[in-house]
Amino acid sequence: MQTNKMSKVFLFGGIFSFLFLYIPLIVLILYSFNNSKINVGWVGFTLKWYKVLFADKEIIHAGVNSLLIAFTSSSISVVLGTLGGVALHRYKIPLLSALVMVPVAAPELLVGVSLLLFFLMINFTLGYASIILAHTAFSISFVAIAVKSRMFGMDDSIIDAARDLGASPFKAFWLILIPTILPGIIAGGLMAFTLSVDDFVITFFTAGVGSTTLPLAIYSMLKMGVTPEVNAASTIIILFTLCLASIATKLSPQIFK
Amino acid sequence: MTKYLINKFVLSIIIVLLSATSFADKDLNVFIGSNYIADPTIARLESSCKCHLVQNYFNDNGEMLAKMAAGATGYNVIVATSYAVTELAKMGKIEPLDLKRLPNLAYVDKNFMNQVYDVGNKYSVPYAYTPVFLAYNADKMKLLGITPNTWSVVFDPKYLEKLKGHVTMFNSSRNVFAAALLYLGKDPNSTNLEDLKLAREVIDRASPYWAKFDSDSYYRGLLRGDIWIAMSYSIDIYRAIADAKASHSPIKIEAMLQKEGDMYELDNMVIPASTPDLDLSYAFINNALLTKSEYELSNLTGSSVPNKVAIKMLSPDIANNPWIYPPDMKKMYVFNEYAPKIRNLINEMWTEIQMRCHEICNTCSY
Amino acid sequence: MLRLNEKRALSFIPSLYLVCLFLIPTLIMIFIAFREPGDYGGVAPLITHINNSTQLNLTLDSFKFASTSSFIWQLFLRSMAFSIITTIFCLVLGYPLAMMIAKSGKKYRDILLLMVIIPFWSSFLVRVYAWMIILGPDSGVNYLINKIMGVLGFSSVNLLYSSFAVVICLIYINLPFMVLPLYANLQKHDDTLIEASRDLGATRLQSFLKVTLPLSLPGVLAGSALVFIPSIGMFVVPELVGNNCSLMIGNLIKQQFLQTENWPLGSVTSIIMTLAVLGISLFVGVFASRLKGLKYANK
Repeated sequence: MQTNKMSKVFLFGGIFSFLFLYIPLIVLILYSFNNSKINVGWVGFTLKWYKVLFADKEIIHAGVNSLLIAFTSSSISVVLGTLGGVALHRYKIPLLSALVMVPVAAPELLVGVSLLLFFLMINFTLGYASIILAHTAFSISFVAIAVKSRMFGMDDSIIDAARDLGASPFKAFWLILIPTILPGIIAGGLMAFTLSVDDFVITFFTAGVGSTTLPLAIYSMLKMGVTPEVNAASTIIILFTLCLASIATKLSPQIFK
Repeated sequence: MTKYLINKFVLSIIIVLLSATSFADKDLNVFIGSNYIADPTIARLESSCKCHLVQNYFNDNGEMLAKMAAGATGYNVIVATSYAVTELAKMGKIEPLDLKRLPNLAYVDKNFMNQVYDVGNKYSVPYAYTPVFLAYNADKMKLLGITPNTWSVVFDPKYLEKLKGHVTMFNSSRNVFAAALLYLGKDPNSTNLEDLKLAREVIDRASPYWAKFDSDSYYRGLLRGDIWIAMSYSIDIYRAIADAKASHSPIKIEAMLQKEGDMYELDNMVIPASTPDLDLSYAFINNALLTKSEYELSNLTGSSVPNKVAIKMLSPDIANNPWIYPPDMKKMYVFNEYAPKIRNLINEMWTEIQMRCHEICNTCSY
Repeated sequence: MLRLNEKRALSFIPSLYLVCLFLIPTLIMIFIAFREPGDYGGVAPLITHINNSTQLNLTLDSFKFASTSSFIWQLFLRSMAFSIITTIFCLVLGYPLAMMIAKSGKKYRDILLLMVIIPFWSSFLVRVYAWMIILGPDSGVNYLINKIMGVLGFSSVNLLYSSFAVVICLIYINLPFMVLPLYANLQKHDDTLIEASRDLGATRLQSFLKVTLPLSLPGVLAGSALVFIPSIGMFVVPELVGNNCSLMIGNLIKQQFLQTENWPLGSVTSIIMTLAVLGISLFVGVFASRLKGLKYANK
């Protein structure tokens, strides 16, 4: 495409937006290496905040909690979401499609508060289990939508053909359908995993004894007064997401579509 | 290729999860307001009970009560401020204590036992206390010619005109109302509707001048220099002064008690009725009441402790500090419990006080 | 018969899960809006027996309180204003970015896209914290701005702890939500359409306004919804970087559930917020379809 005024406007606008997105992150990462307790001027290079971070048992515990919860809830939602996505593709089920679409559009605060009330009403102890149940509830929708969009335009006749050739419904599902929609499932699963690791609002309302996750720990550090330990923790989170995002794009480029 | 990558991904996560479950010591869960247990005490406790201490923090007693009322379980011990003990007891959420199982109660100063909120210490034993007063930027006060020895400084427009936008008060209805009642010369625990109405008027008149309701990070404002005077906890100010010294900050933070009297938050150990391990709960409380533990707490955090022997062991700059160990405890008040009706009324007033915007505040940029 | 079984086998468990953990909790919350607050948090018993007479404790008090309290309306209007400003700025910043990615060569496209995804996938608290550093009273930015203000004769300002900081953070954390759907839409556009319009004598600006923009409308709407909905319920951002004058409706809801223990009022406020989101979405949806209809009618 040859350069012209219009595309120049977009180019400069785009570069400006990229700077807007990245300068804060770069500042944050730089200050994690600054040898000063307050984020003011540059004093000198140090790795001490990382040492402090790795010696902080509570933060490590919270990080492990986050991974544990994200892994469990995304596994459950991959199974349920795949079933739901296939069902939505093959049949018209107004109830299910409403149940899948509405949680995506509902404000997180509403979901968090109503789940809190629900758990309290049925006397369900708040903790790991309540967080996992809550995260699964919002993740199912994302997996189902990813699976459904993967199946869009797919020829259903291969399944019918398998059935005609004598495969049981389970076999046809497992051997024919699942491999064809695998990229959709992976995309949805990764989406569910990152949403769960990152979730603050819903976790905030459904967490209980000893089940502090990383975002909750960072939140209380930010509230209580900031030390560069938070910068160090943030830098590691950014690196972690960088790896995860690269894997995701390699595995399934249509994750964004 | 794809399959291989997925396998590796899943495998690595499983390894992380397995290593996570490997620290299998039993957990001792404490529900506590802030970082309120000294590190050496924790180490001693963990080795003696073969357990792992998990501290679960709440921002404010209201939040703790809301969670307990809602049926939160799993805690071995709760550290609750005076009035919260009564509420927990009335809700039936805490266990009557068997004081015979707490031999170390002998070390506790009798003046702090048998308080109105828990007569006869049926449910609670005092662990530590935190005076609430005004801390300030010494140079700014000198410049303005203000001595913050009275609550008028944060309630009277005469002073506030000079302090506009540089004052913070706690994000807590109990503390702000008590301070207003003290300013008016009333009982800080008054439930008289007239008194409360007057207090509300005083708060409404003063709040446009306040920068923020903040009980978490106000001392950082003091350290930075944009907050000149703040309703403060002794432990936060103790830490802030130490931080200022360590970073060679030019800002000088000081504090003093107010002549109308001040509140102090007397924090107590209580055992939830739902404790997963009663023996562990008693073991923890006993350990915390030891003179050594109380000394460590006061020495490291600047908390005030109800233990005369421990106070004698402290260095004079803590033991003789008037805002850590007030010389006249008669002018220090604890919070008593409110009847549900009064509490709901105050909560309703508080919602509006806290949520309403005052365009006067100078930090409003929009 | 077999078909019916398969349909049930596929949809039963997911439906059951979402009914239990989404539909029922929402209904419980709606129900609680009509109850009375309890003595120690929670709600008062539904049925009380006084002197042999049974009383059903359902009330509209919380709705009345919410609709007559001016401060709640103030919070609500402010939340709307913040969210709308956030959406507009995200659109202004996000459109060129999405366009740039869509128009760039295949080689760079994936990398550029990944660069948008990375901030989107790292915790939003981290991203708010980055701005806390930049806007903080000790930072160079704040120092510089106050120097300029001083030269111009204005009194110094505090960038952090202001409505400005709240809006900046809202824009920053939501920008990727705008870019991704916009990109997905723009990338599908057929370049020949633009060429055709140019051949027919349209200027570049005209062909953008008459061809590209209308075609990207679904992307714009999807992005706006993805930005607007999470913005309006935000309570963490005003708490961390705002002041008394930048609290949002989410702060009230959080306060009612976690501090002052008035569940019915909290539920009522949540319901009002959700209805507002639904209302706006519907309005925008209808407006957009009208707009499209008009365009085609004119042709």
